[in-house]
Amino acid sequence: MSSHVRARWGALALVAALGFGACSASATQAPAAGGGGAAPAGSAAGAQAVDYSSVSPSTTIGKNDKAAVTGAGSTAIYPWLSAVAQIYQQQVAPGVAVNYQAIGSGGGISQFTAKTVDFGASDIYLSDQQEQQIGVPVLNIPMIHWAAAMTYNLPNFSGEIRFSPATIAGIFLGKITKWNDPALAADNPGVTLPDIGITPVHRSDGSGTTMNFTSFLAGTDATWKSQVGAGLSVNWPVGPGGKGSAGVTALVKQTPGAIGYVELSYALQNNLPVGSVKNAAGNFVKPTLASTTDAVAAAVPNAPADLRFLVVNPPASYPNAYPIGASTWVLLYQDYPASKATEVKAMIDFLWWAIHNGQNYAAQVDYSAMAPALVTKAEAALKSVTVGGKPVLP
Amino acid sequence: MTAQVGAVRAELGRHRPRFGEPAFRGLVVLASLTVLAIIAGLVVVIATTSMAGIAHNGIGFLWGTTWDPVHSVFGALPFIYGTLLTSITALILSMLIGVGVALFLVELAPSWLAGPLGFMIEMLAAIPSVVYGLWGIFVLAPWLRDYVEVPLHDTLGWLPFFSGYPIGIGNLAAVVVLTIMVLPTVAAVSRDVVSAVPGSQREAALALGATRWETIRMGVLPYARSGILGAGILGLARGVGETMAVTMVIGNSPTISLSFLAQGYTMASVIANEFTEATTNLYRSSLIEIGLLLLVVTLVINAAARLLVWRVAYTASSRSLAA
Repeated sequence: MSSHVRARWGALALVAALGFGACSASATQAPAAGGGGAAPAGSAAGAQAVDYSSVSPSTTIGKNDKAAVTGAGSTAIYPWLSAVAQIYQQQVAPGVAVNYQAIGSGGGISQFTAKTVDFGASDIYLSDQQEQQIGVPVLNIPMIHWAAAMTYNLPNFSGEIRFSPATIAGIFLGKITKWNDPALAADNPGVTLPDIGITPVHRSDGSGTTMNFTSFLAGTDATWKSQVGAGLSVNWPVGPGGKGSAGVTALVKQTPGAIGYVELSYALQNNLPVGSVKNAAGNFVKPTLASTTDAVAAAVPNAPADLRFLVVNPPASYPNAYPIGASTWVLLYQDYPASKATEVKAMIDFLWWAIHNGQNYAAQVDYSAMAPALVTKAEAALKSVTVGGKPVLP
Repeated sequence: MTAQVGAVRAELGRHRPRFGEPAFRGLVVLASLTVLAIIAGLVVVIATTSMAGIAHNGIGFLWGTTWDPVHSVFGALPFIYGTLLTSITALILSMLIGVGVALFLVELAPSWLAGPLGFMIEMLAAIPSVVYGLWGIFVLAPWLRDYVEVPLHDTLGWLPFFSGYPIGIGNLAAVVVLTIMVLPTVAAVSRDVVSAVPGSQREAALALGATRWETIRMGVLPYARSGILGAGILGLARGVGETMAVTMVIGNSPTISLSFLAQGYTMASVIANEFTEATTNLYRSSLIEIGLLLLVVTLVINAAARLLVWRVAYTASSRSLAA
């Protein structure tokens, strides 16, 4: 038994190392970078106006739980999930080990479909077809958020560039090819933009950041919607692709005139120049942890009950919301077999803690917390989980 | 003498194990069958998991030029083209350099230089490919852009090979990185082949009054030709399958362009890029179909190269017989 557990931890350590390599989100330095890195794009403290442990008192703290919980999927959720799992084990439930394999959303969905893990995690919710394939009712619960930040390389230019959605679509469709194009000039009155070519850089690997960036463009630009569409990987009309956030950043940094999108935590930790993007209210908003949580808050009132919704293009009633937000969903089965009762109780207790107290740690890894209104909906979803037909939570 | 033979025979007769021979035979047959089983298993799994893709994409997969996961349109031609363009160009370049290095090491270099230089070239093969990729993206690509691509574009931009907008990342960077990665294989194998040429070949040429170059051209190279081609096959196999370094520098854009300044894509790269986040069955199956295609391309290249080696070896031997 103990050797089995040890082997598992060995596997976790290995997967953790691979996960860092794959998502390249520099999560190892996250806690230290949280303060310093947040400076260029707004204060991290802004996102923490709410103490999530008090949103709703945690009725069940599973301090007597003893189980190893296994999950697999998204690399994006990994920095936060691993930090929160560690803190939960240290401070709340010493007997609960969360073994999360950051193998990518696609791998997570296939393992979840094959029922080899207790939970999955994906940067996009399950489609109707995928849910049918699983064959049993499932839950999609968004638990952490981030944003796609526009970063660029303009030599001898230190100001901030502002982009309207149509301009971004034009650039990535290959219609806007110069930085001094009238469309960019109109977005940036009073700014002298250089007469150099634009090289739009995208993520070559499948990515939740691409998913939300392309959903944002499909939601605002009809040409984009019909020609390219939205997905974890799409058929890019122009421009080179870099592997991972690190690959995109390297291409942007080395190519004068380049523009790319990277996940916000990566931009913050590497002090990349980021542009502001125009939202439905007509404001140009910088991507910050707070403006991303605002985008989540904006999306919640219209969110369907199954929580399958994107946090892009928030309505005009949220003037400070950044329009390209992103989520990672935790995937659960509605009902677990009775033989799994111990693991499932430990898992649900942990997730309950994660959507409350755990949200306080999001800023430490440069991620955005859930909006309080979403926490309430996630609570209801967690309460609906059953083991052998009986609810896990009171 | 006869007595000794008799003693050995007696010794063997006494100690010969009854089951040793069949057991040994069984072990080596098992080892060989394991290799066959692994290959067969690989082919079966890849073929069955790519069935959904094959059914949906049809034969048009081979010449389709659009790769659009959103609309489930999958065509593999840009990846096949990129793989062949980069690996064959890199092979030609590394053959030129590698054979030169081999000839220098064996025929010309003083021994105090040949040892360390040979060691250094073998060291190139020990560098992990992700390191080549990082070097490619941070050092090589900007350098290529400023000192090679921009001048090429300015002077020869009217040629289709150098048209487009030079950004460093692209086919040229992939070719250069691949050349360096293939070079140690080609150089090391060629060196062993050239040094295996019997001294009598050289002595005969020298005795007829040949210069150093004539000796190499007439005495050494014809003898080593099939072996050098074999070195090329090994190098090509390395080039076709190389994934990480190429992914980092080729630009990952599924376009078919003659230009070395343009961005491209290879079969191995698209699998590495998209497999982990391929969330639908059809998408994943189409990526595996690319893997199947890569297997087929590798087999075809190897078969063609093997034929070439046989042909060269056959012509060489018949010519020497005729002479």
